[in-house]
Amino acid sequence: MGLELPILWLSVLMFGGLGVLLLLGLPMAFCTGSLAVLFLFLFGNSAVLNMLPSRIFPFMTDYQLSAVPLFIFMAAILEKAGIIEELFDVVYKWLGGLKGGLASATVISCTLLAAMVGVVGATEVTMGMIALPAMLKRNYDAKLACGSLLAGGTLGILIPPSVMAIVYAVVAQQSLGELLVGSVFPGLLLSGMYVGYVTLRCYINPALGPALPVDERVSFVEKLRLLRRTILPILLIILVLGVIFLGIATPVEAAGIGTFGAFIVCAAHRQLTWDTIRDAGIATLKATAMVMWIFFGATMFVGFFILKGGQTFVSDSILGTGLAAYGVLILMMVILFVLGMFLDWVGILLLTVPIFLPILKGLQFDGLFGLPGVASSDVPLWYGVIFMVNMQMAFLSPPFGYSLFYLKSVAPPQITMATIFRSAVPFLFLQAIGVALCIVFPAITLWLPKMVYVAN
Amino acid sequence: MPSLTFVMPHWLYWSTLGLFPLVATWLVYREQERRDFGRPNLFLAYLFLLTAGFLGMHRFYLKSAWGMIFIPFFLAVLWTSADIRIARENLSLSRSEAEHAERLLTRAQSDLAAGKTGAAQRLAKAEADAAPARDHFAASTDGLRRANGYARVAGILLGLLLLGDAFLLPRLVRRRRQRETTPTPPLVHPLDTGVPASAVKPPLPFFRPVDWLVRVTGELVAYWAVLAVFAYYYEVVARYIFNSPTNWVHESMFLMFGMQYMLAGAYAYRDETHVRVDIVYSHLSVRGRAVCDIITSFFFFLFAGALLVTGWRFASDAISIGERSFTEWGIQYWPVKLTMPIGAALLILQGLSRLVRDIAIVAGKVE
Repeated sequence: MGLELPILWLSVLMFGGLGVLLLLGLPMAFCTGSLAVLFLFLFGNSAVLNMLPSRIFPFMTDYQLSAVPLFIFMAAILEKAGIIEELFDVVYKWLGGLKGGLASATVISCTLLAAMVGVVGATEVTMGMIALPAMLKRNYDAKLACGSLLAGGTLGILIPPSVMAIVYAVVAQQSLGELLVGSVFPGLLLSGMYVGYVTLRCYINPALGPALPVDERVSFVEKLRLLRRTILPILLIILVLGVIFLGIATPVEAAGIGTFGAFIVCAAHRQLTWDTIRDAGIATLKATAMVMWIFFGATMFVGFFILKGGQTFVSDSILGTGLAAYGVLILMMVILFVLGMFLDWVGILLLTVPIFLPILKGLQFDGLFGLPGVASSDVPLWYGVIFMVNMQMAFLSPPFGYSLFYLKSVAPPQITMATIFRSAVPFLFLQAIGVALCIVFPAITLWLPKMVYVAN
Repeated sequence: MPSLTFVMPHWLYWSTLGLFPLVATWLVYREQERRDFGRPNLFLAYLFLLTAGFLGMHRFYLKSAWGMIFIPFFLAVLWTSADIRIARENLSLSRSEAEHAERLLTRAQSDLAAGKTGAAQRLAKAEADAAPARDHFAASTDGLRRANGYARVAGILLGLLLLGDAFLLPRLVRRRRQRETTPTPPLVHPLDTGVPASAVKPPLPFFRPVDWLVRVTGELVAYWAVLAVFAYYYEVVARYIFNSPTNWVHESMFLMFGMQYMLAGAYAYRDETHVRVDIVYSHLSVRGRAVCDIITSFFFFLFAGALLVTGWRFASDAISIGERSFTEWGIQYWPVKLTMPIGAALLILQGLSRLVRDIAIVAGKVE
């Protein structure tokens, strides 16, 4: 129809419309997609609509994106193999003698699982089913127990392999390998902070997380024998991450080999049946369809917004505040946090990265407090990892955080939603500290990719 | 090691995509009839022998530590095929070097015959240069022959081990089954990674065929993920053990996944796995949600309808020219594009089923 509207009003109309439709409960993928169609028709003509398939088709034929279903499939097969129970069992027998040992064991098992799994859902749910009752039975503080589960389970999407890294790599045209390698230390940093926090609290006040009674602890010889059960999972971690880090195969191929390895692990646990494969395949299908359809819808929406000058508009408004480079970055972090309270990470990534990243690329990051800064060629990688760490908060921030709902769905009835909300708060602070550390010390993110990729 | 030159024929690719899900469905059904799981079985043992036997995986599957024997042989094969790769590179370098020297030599000879000045010195220099180049070439040929020889020995030994195990396998499985008399019970796992929101709405009787269509399409294409695992595995094995990377694995797999995303949209909508923002919506009554859904259905159909119409135009252009990809493999593109209108049509059908149900809820006809 060829209407014209100043960009300010267009932005208000687009994002206002998005907000209203989301509140009315239309799935994210269809909100963005339908608004894009509507606006394309109103502000262009029906012929412009033909760009719809030609924008979607490149995502259907994207090589990197096929790692998304493969990593999800691998996770589903491993969960079916019972690897979560097994790892938790071993780790908790090792740490049982410490104060808060079960909570630390939860975080550490989640970290190990995160190195095999690229999503959050099923790990969080299964760990919730086994670790939460175990901790409550031994009189752990409910908030500490829930918090360690929430924070630990969410690491799944940060520590490589990570589905979020794949999506970011495709949207930002950034090397996936570098991104995966770059997120190793931030992931371990967060994991270490969680363990440190839990242990510290339990040593100050042992009533929060008492150590196992002496007669329930296992001997050292028994502990060594238990280690045998971790051989297969650890081999699998080494296989997948080793293949990616050494550049032997692409991340997509690594996902393929990893899933093959998961088949063998599942068979060795005598759980590999056609029924297992069917269940895992369907769970994968649903999770992938959810991510990909948001891709299809949001790419149209953002594409239209940028076409109409939205990019320059946002850039001018943010830079017009007169903030320095780091101020702009912090402002973006705050925006991401607020969006994270309501939206899930796929939507946030697809809506914000195409708009924010070009702004950041044009800025100079010379380092804070006299510390070394970030070269402009490293900004997409650096921002990618900071974004991923920030999105950890999106999983935990009420009112709409996935991890909260996953945990609630398996928690015993005496654990109320209010308890879960409150248990997330200290861990949200830890995550915010993590984001700050990654901003102040870019080397946490950038050092390992440089080592790995210059050496190759 | 021999080279693998297999290129997936197009007819085999399309028929595998079509038939594998059906076979898998039948296998699931048969397994439920037989109820023999939780113990080792011969099929998986042979599968692992065939695909990962060079790592001893079939032995590990049967909890036999003898699988370790395979690992040094495997490492030897890996080592020699890396050697071959280096030797091949050396050979092609030294060959071009030798050819260059020979060319200079013949030119110098013809110059001498034509009686040009300084030709004699050039001939002497060219002869001096050609000799080491020839030696180099001979050495590289020799190196490659040696590497090939080692690879053959390692490969044959590994092959003999595998062949021996192929005969032993039935007995090994039988013995293992006797030791594992009680089958491991299947674990019950919640694999739902979607939003734990409202339950799936059952369709009205009239829309049951639509519901069936959407469900069956989704369940069938879900099995494609298994194909990808074996395809990528084949690619990496072919590259590192047989030194023959393929030109079809990557393309065939991302196209397959592309079709899967499209066809799965309606299935995910049916199962409520498309994320929504639940702040208000999940606190509404069943009727309130139905009212919201009716209001937003306009936008839903706008998107799905536009996708159907433009997607059909997009696909029919491709069909009319019988579009193929520009790669060496040259696979047909039009079926991939055709999934776009099909996916949109399924989505519309599923949306209609929901809309009618929501209207019935608001009208008080259904609970």
